[in-house]
Amino acid sequence: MIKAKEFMDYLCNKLEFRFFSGVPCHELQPLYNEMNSSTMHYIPAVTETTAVGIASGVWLSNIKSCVLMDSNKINSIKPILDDISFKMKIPVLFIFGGVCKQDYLKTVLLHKNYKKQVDDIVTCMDIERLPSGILIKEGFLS
Amino acid sequence: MKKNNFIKQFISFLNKDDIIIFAGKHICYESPNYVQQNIVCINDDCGYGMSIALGMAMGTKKRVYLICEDYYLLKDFGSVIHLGLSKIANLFIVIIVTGYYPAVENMPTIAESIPNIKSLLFSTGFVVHDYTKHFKTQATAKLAKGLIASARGPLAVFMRPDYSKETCTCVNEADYNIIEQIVKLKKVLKDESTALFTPPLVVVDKAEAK
Repeated sequence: MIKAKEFMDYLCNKLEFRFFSGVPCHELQPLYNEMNSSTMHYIPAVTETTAVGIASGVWLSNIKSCVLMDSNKINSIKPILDDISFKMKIPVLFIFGGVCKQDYLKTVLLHKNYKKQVDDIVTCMDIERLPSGILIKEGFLS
Repeated sequence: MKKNNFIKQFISFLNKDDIIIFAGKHICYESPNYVQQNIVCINDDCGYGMSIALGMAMGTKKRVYLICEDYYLLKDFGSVIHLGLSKIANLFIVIIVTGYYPAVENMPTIAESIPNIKSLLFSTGFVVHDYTKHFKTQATAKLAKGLIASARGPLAVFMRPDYSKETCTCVNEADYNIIEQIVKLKKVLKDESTALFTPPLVVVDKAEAK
């Protein structure tokens, strides 16, 4: 089990993701509890597509951005990924609560050595300029 | 005034630093006709451009103008509510009310059936202006120049063109490179400070340079 604060600090301070948007997901509850407005900004969105849109717009303003959402809703973002993220090459990081995944979006399920996994996926995302995701199963964060 | 003339005239009133987002397939296809430095085309018909405009406005102090038609506004009204509630002063949406879906002739949108779409936007936090009368002729349009220059967002501008069933001249293929537009825009938006919050120490380009 990983401490949510440690994970959040790693994302915000080490990897410098400062903007988060998303639709609340109960698997990610520990992350919401550890959000610190002095190092990051979170905008709750009405739908997953809106969250992806906002995060994409923020990325265009040169700020690294993340989307937090339930992995069961991954299919609802496929149209915006196809129309916007893949076409315009906008590398937004997705943090999914749950373990549901799809072929069209590169995702990894986090385990104990999460820092290397996240580093790899962020590096890959920056090089390929494509969105990628990490999956966090229930109980992984405390 | 026709739709194309209105867009040309409106753009001519903006500053060269302002960001213009064309949202919707038909407006994007017509975008090469308009000369402005910072144009981005969101070539979709699902309303994604609105949330992208919001994200961009959050990340910069430059004024962000989203130009779309009424059908596009109705596609994702959830995002429109976000735009209004954001209270972001540098965000403006320009809605050209044609009353029709551009791809399907004579198929009306429900924009005309909504009793008061302006009050709906006002309730979400927008200031609402209607420039239909201002943009009747080029001479009267100049009266709106001062209003546009001094406006604060979130502002929704309505405009009903004279010929709402105006056909698009180039609807087959977009004549612009979106990746070029994005690269150019990211250079323009490399602000030292942002409207939303103190910027991160490292911006995306630094990571790309590694």
